[in-house]
Amino acid sequence: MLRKKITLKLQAKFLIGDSLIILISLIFIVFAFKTFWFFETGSVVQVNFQGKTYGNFSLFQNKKINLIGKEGESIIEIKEGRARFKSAPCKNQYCVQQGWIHLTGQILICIPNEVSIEILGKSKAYDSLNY
Amino acid sequence: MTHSIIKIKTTLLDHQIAQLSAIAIGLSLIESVLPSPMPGVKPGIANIITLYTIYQFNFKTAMWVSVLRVFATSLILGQFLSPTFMLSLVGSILSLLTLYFAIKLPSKFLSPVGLSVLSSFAHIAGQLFLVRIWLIPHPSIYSLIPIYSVAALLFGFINGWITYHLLKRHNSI
Amino acid sequence: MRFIKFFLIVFTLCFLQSCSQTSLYQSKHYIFGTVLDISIYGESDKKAEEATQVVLKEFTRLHNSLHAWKKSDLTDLNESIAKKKSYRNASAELIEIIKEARLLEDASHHLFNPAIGELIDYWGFHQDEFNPIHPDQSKIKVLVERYPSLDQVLISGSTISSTNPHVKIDLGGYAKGYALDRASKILRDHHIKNALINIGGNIIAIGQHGNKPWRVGIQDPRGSQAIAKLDLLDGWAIGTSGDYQRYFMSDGIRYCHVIDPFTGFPVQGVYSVTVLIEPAQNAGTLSDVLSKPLFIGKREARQAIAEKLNIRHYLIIEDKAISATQSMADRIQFLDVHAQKKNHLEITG
Repeated sequence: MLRKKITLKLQAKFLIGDSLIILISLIFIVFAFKTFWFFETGSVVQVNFQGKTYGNFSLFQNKKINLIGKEGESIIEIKEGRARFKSAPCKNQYCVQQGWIHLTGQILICIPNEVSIEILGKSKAYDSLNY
Repeated sequence: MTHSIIKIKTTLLDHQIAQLSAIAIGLSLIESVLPSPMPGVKPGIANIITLYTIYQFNFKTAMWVSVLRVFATSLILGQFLSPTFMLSLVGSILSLLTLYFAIKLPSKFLSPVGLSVLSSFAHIAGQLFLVRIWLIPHPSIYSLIPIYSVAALLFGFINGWITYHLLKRHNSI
Repeated sequence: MRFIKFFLIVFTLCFLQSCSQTSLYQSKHYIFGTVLDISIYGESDKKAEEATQVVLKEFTRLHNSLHAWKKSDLTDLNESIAKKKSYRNASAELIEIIKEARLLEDASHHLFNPAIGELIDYWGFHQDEFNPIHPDQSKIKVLVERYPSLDQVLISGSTISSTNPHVKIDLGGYAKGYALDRASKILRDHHIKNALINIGGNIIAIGQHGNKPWRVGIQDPRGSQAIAKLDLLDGWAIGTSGDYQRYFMSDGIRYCHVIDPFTGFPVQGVYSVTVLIEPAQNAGTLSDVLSKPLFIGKREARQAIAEKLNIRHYLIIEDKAISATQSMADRIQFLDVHAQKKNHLEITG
């Protein structure tokens, strides 16, 4: 069955099935961007720790958040409308390397230490402030 | 005391699997030192070997190569049983599953490129699923879908293209 | 090639589909001596704008009628009282308000006392900006012992007078809430089904924000952001009295605008009191008034005060503690987990 495949494959690089798959992928990507991605500047960063929301913090403040997870200490820094992982105990340091995020929908995740930070925007933490 | 020599009979196929796996592991290791724009976004070049094996040998062989690669790479990198390993494993399993069914389709419709794209989407789907239900059970994970999809399409395409050329070259020799 | 054409067509088609339009109308106005923030959901801009204009007109009217120190019907009334004269042709609204306020004053055992205008004036809070003063104990004692109260206000027909010339009515803790009720009525009369009205921090909700409830943040009395948030359901109102908006510092001591009628001094040590009021005709008014008795009253008396006034949901932030009723604690979500832990939340009532 697969021997047949080898000879047939030499026919063409792109076959009709390929085009179909690529087309569907593109459509999906467009849909994914419209549904899951935002381009506006965020105003609140949501910190998730060990599966739960740890808190929502305004991006317009200078703040450091220390979380001690099972790998060690993750330090999240909020400054001038942006947020980042200042330091993390994980080996890969992916989360730290990403640098600052500030757009709604952007998210940084430190899987080993179970911390993630996400920028919220359009859906603000609240609609109006009582004071 | 009598000497006991345990001889494991190896077949040619075993050797071939070992070789392919070795190459796949090598590619994985190279990839692990390459910087990635975002965690989880990887070219997945070891998948070229998986796909290549499906064509040159059969699905079962490819499965062996793939799984061996995931285990060995994680052992070498000291990530065995870590979340990274789990993600890799889940992604590979789902990827293989998809390929298993995809290759049943008449092959005049699908070339390595299409298969590769399919398998890479399956890969990220598996990983996102695992992250969503286990590592970060939060709907915010969905915001990664757009970027991961682009990577899946792009790298799936490139890997498939490379696989095609590899096969072409190896079969005209 | 044909494949590329395909892809381009599909791509363009996808993007041509416009993204969702937000049907949230928002407007901010400076009126009534404070900021009015109206959010209307699910209505055409035209309709929302129309309704907002009516609310603005109403607020201007209220401003001219009830202002505590700028020329208004209220200041005219106070003048008459000071001169021991009768104030004639009072509006039905003013009379209604005084009656309502008196009931609340009595129910709160005079902790809420809108007749202490002279004291408030003395402390300098009858101005837009306040300057620090050095409290004169004896002068304050004199003011307190005049014991002004709405009980001393007599209403006969449309004539208002008082037996105590030192009664000076200041509806500071009442008017905003009252305005909220008026605004809510106007919007509902205009068939607006979903809106959030915020006047000077006091908020009342109509309907929801689309498919989820309106969400309201509670200001951190010592910070610049919200310390907690909660869902404000249809008809519910929320109000906070705090020492962080209108106050001055003198010799390192904070003097806020909430004056204890019994001591004559501003309350010390309480940062903010937030009350959540269930739907009622005067929910807005209550959300303004009812935070005062809890703010002023002694800590030990709070539960009794809350019971008497039927305040079921409240949150009090003080120097070293945050306390709330169970039902309030259940409704709020702290935005800063540290705040909750640092000032261990005490459940009262």
